[in-house]
Amino acid sequence: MTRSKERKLVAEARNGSEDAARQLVDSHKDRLFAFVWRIMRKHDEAEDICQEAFLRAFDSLDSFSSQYRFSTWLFTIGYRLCLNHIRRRKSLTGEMDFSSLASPEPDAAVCLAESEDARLMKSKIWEAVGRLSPPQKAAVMLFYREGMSCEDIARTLEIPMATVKSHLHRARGRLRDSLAALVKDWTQIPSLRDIAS
Amino acid sequence: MITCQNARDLFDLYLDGELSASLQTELHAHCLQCLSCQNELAMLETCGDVIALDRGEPRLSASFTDRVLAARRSRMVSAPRRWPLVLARVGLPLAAAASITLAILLTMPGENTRTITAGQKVAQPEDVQNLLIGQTGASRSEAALKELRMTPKVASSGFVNELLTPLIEQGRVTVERTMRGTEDLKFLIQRSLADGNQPLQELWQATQVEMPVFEFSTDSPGPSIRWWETPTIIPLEPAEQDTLEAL
Ligand SMILES: [Zn+2]
Repeated sequence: MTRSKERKLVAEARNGSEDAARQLVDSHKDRLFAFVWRIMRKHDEAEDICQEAFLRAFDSLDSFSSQYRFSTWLFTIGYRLCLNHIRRRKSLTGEMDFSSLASPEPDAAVCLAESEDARLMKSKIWEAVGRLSPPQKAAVMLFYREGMSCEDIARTLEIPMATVKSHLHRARGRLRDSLAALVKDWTQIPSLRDIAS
Repeated sequence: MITCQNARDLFDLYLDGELSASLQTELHAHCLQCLSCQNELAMLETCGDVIALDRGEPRLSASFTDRVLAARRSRMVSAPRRWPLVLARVGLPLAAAASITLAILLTMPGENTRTITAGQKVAQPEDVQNLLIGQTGASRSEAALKELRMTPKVASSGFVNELLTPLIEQGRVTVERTMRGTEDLKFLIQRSLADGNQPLQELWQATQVEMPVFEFSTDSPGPSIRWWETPTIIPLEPAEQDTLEAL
């Protein structure tokens, strides 16, 4: 969605247009859900958080500054809600945060064309991502999936840029530790970019 | 020729796309000769590719958009848009109720939150305070933060949490909405007073109530909404006057 189209929809939604609100939801929901689900790993919870994120975004459209992208704003709200939920989970269950345990919920069925090896490797990689801390998961998703710069991630997660870099650095370190033994020669996986898509 | 340690120290900058061209050349030269570094870099790049491209997440329910819009409609219906006298009567008691609730919560005899068994609900006072004051530190005003820091951290029992949390959340939303209505109203009144609207001026004088000024976060990176302030009368610019008349 172009920036000017987005600004127009935000302005219309602010004036109460349901059609504009619907377009904003439809064009952002999958990205937001992917981000939130990767942090929470629970379908119901992730949907609730996404719904609340949209409602809060709509509630405060009046103070939305057009210098931000609507998506950035949604990710900010969604991330705050995730942290609140995780905090609440911890208070309900002692100190355990289940989102950092491996795959409480499996990833959706992967596409048919890929080989068993590729499927296994991808699931191992996602398992390793699932074991990262929530801020590390958030930073990694925004960096790789959303293609955000460290500066944009810092603004979205409301943390200093140095912290973003350290999250990415530690996340890579943990991925390396979990995955190093999985494949002998990673340079021999040339087609993964095609398979993954 | 750089060492393996040097090369690994450059991985992050390289993957973040922040490595200078000359150091990139150094890194590539090293990797051509060092299978171990080459392998590690390939692994990290593969991980990045999978995270970027593999859409392994489950799908949102088909009814998601409809549910969001329905919830939005019901929130919009409940948003109050009232007159200042009504606001003073509704808004102040609400704010008072919120602070009384906070006071009750903070003076409740606490239970030890560390010795609970699994599944037992225990209120974290921080959570309740977060609900009352906003979501995260970043969006709170300095004054609110200071107040929060001065608030003693005590535990309250699970049932209090269960009972009051939804009420507080509901109260917070209502207060937020009331304040937004107030902002709109303030604008209209300023315009009308500047216009010399006599009946409105009289009504306005009659409803002057002294109210505290405090900020309330709305979870957005934009400016936060301010509580009621006595409006200054802004004379209209001729151009604005035209626009207003055209409406
Ligand atoms: Zn090396």
